[in-house]
This record gives sequence, structure tokens and C-alpha cells, in this order.
Amino acid sequence: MVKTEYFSDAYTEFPAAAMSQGQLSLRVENLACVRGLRVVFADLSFMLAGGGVLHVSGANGAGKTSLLRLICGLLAPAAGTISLSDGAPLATQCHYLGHADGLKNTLTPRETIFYENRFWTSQEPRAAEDLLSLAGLRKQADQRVSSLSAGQRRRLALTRLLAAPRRLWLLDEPYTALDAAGRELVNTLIRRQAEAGGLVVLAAHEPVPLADQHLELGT
Amino acid sequence: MSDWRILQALFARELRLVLRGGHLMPVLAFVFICVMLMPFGLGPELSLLQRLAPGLLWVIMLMAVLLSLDRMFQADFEDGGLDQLILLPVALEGAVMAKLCAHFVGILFPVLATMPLAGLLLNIRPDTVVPMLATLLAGAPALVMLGAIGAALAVGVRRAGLLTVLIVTPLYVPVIVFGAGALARSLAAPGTLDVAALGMLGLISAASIFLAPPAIAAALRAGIR
Repeated sequence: MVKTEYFSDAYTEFPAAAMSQGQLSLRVENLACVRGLRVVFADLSFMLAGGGVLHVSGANGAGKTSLLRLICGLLAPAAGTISLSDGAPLATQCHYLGHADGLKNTLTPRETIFYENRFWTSQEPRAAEDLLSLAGLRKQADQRVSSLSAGQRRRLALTRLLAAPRRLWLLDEPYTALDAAGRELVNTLIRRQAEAGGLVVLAAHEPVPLADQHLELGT
Repeated sequence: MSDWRILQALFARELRLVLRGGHLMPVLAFVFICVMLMPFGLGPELSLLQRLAPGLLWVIMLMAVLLSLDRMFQADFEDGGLDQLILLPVALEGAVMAKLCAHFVGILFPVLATMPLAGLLLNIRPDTVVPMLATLLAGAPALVMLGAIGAALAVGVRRAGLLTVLIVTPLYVPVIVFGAGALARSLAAPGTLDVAALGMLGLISAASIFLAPPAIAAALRAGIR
């Protein structure tokens, strides 16, 4: 593990048994995705059991991002079903971190975390300082997001995952623009999510040693 | 989870973004440039300016609203904020209303506040400022809601400003007709309010407040697909 500012005491408190609602699984059956007139993929089926990490890979345009967006409901499937084993609506159970991070350039990291906390949880929000430490952004806490580097922006976006426990994480290229410490941060967050019984589906071009399932699209 | 709490936070964030984003100054500058240039284009005859003032003020207001709505959803679409907005644990219609309320407070209120000065520059009588503000205020929500429908329909389209204008201009016709008419009658008889026209404007605004958010939400969902 890379020792950096990220791993403060606050880190050890990360989502305490957030997923302790029984064994959960994600089931995808005969899923088809059509964009325009192009069939991106069809007849895709898999099951991801609680604590599982699924690595989705494939060439550009193979449908990795589309799959994640289908799972969280941002896209509608052309055919097939996606469901959680307990029947809960997917949109309310997942965090989606896409290519575009949804950060606002004119806010500061501190303000970003403040609002994200209020959007995603009704419980006592995690202290902004903890999350800033975790993301390694304490020194940049009051700078505009527009002044952050791509890697710093990515780390700030990752704090959204911790604003509230969600049972399913959908991460699109989570390692993009991150340095070694940032990558380790992502890996540790994923490991903790899996240990807590949550599910992680991540699209990445590089190998993901943490993944216990691999899905190659476009083959 | 408290939807109201989330919507309050969203309103506060959007208001902060509007105030920091530098969106207000271009709109105010547009209003003043229009008003300052009118006498040059129409001639310096004060009675002519006074006669045309109701229509001019409404058209300037309408154009200011369209200018301010240009990138309302487009910026969210481009930076991924629209995905997060849709995934928030509240109804998208509510989130849209929070955004529009922030827009109204952050941009439209300041524009409305400049309208008395704009009216005086167009030679309306000082005692007709209040009726003028009343008609503009009654119609402004409709302008924002209808304009936001156009902005949402054009989301994902590059350089969608013109498309937005083409979509919403027909929807604006009743608002302009009732608004400019009510204002003209109020200016013709100082100290009076055209209650019927004002009521109709309020009705259009109320209807748009109820009907526009579902339409905007549907357009945004379609836009990201």
C-alpha cells in the first residue's frame, strides 16, 4: 500500500458494514444494447454475487460505458432485464462514476463535498475534512475545482462514493489520470466495498487484480 | 430520506453556481444595450418610445430569458452533472424545479429589478412602474418554464441556442400578447392594473409551473439516451 496523506485515521472508518442487509446479487439476463442503428451487444447475461468485483473490458465502442449506464438506468435496454436479488430499484442502490465526473468548476472541493454529502445521505454527513484528507486535497480544499489537475478532480469525484453507502458501485475507467497513490486509493475503496458485501462493476482497459469476475465485451 | 433537504441543498448549490458562473452580467448588459440603442433606432421622439415601450420591454425580457437559458442544461450534460442529477434520490422533476428556482432568483430577479430603469429610459411615466413590474413578474415564470423546455429538448445538440429559440418562440406568443397588452393598458391609464390580462398571465405561469417540469424531465431523460 502506498503511504500518502490519503490514509488518515478517517479512512479506517470507511463505510462501516454499510451493506449488512443480507447477501445481495446483481443479475443481468439476455441484455441487449442498441445505440442508433448499431447493436452494441446482445444476449448478455451474468450474475455478480455479494462482495463481487466485476471487471468489464473490451475495445473502444464495445459497450463498456453503455453497460454501466444500462445498469444504473441512465440508458434503457433494448431487451433483457437487470435486477438486484432483493428487487430493490437499481437507481436508488448505486453510485455511478462516469467518464465525466459531474464536478462543477466554480465550486471548491470543500463545497463540492458539502453538497454531495447532502445530496446522497440524510444521516449525519461525514466530515468534509475527513474526505478531503482521504482524497489528498486538504491543501486545495478552498481552491476552485477548475484549478485542480485531472487526477485531483478524479480523486475528488471518488469521494462521492463515500458520501453515502450504496450497495452497487459502477465505475467507468476509475484509474484514469490517477497516480500510483490514487490508484491505490481506488483499489482500497473497492476492496472495502467488496468486504462489506457490496458489488462493484468497473470498466477498465488495464488488468484489475482485485476483480473476481471478468467480462470481455465485443468478443 | 428527506427530499426537501436534498432539494434545498440543490437549490443552494445551483444558486451559488449561477452567481459565480458569470451568467448574470452578460444578461444585464444585453438588457441595457437594447434599451440604450432603441432611441437611436426608433428616433428620439419621446411619445413614440412611450407608445412602443410595453412591447419593447416584453421582447427584451423574453430575449434576456432566452439568453440566460442557453446553457442551462447543456453545461450539466457536458460535465456529467446531468447524470448525477438524474440519479439523485429525488424525482427529477423536483430537481429541475430547484434548478429553475435558483435560476429565477439568481438571474431573473436582478433582470426584473433593472426593468424600472429600462422603462424610465423608454420614457414610461414613473407612476406606471409598479403595474409594469406586476405584469412582468406575473409572466416571468412562464418565460422561464417554457424556455427551459426548449433548453431541455436541445440538450446534447451542439450550438443549440438557435434550436432553443425556434422551439420556444411559438410557445411565447400568448405570454407576449397578454403581457404587452396588459402593460400597454396600464401605461395608457396610469395607476390602473389590467386585472383580467394579469390574471391570464398568472394562469399561464401557474400552468407552466405545473406542466413544464415533467416535460423538462422527460426531455432530459431522452437527451442522455
